[in-house]
Amino acid sequence: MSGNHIPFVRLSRYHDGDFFTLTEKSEIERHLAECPECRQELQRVEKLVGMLAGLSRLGSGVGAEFAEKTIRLAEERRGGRRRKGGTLFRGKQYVPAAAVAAIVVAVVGISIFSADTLHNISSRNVAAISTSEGNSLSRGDPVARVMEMVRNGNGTVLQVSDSYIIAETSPENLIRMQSALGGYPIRILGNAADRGVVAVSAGSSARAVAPGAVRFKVLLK
Amino acid sequence: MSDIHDIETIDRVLKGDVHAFAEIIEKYRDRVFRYVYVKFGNYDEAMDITQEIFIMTFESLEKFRRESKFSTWLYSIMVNYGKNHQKKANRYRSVSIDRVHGDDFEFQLTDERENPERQVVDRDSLRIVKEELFNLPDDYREILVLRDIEGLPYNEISRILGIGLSNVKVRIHRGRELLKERLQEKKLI
Ligand SMILES: [Zn+2]
Repeated sequence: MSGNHIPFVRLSRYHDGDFFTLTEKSEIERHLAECPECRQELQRVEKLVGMLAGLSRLGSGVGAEFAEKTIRLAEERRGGRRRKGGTLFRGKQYVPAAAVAAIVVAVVGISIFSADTLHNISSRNVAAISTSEGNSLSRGDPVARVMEMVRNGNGTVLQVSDSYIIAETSPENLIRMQSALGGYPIRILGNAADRGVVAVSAGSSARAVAPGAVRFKVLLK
Repeated sequence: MSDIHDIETIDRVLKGDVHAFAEIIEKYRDRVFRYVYVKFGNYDEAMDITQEIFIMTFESLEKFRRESKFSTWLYSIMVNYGKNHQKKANRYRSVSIDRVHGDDFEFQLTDERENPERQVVDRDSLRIVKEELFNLPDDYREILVLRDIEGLPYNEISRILGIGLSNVKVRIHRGRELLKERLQEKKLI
């Protein structure tokens, strides 16, 4: 090793207490004792590792409600899977309130979707009105209620404005929503996955739409 | 902190006290978040994925064989979920990942009080380190989070990533070297 400096990678191993043999360790230490440059390089290793350790201050910034919400979602999905006999509808659940306004829609490819499927869903909507949740959405802020229902049904809110909300959810949840929505009309826009539509929040990478999701618009006015 | 405590908590969950799982989430939430955030570079997306990872862990809890520490098992789920998500995300190329962040959620003051020795690194330096870490190739970024941010030992990283010990070491030291070079250019090191 004499004459040549110790490569960074070896100093990095030495820093971690990971050396091939004790002979290697004493070789490194002998060189360090007489070479200020390598001592400086070792200090760089230490500083680098220290700075990386400092990044453990990076935090999600969310509180205890995150855990509760996650457990609720997990339980809901477990229940949903039992009802559907093995198939699990997956979608996006967690939308920070601030991000919702920035959510945009990107169409990456268009193919013809099955009109039959959509027609079936539309007619099922009419038949499936249940009274259990009837009109519950008319209480309070309709936007908040719609968003809550979409997310509780593992759907995705795509766009929110004063007069409408565009979202995607499973056909089953859409039917539930329809019955709960009381006076607010719902228009079905299409089978999202068939049209190759992806929902993205501003600045984020694209997310795939859950298979079988239906895109719809709730008219608020 | 101990694994025994994790096991006790999991036993409670499996016996039907599902809300005990909140303890697991609280304990590992930010660690999972950091890994995912460094991998994908977007806060909202990282929160979504973090949540999905905990849901998946909750769903698979019965399959935890206790042959490894719970944390190792959880991190393996995290790594696999991240890999699959990346494959899916790559299919939709329409939107690029924005890696520029200045949000204050990022560095939490509570931790500074708990770890006074870490205060020697100021926030501005940390931001630069974070940005340069984000710019490293995937494999290096991932392994440096596990090793130097989370402080995991080589053998645990080897199990979590499913790669050999020598490969783990190569990646760690080469990753540090790349990062050092970039930080040297920025006169930070
Ligand atoms: Zn030297």
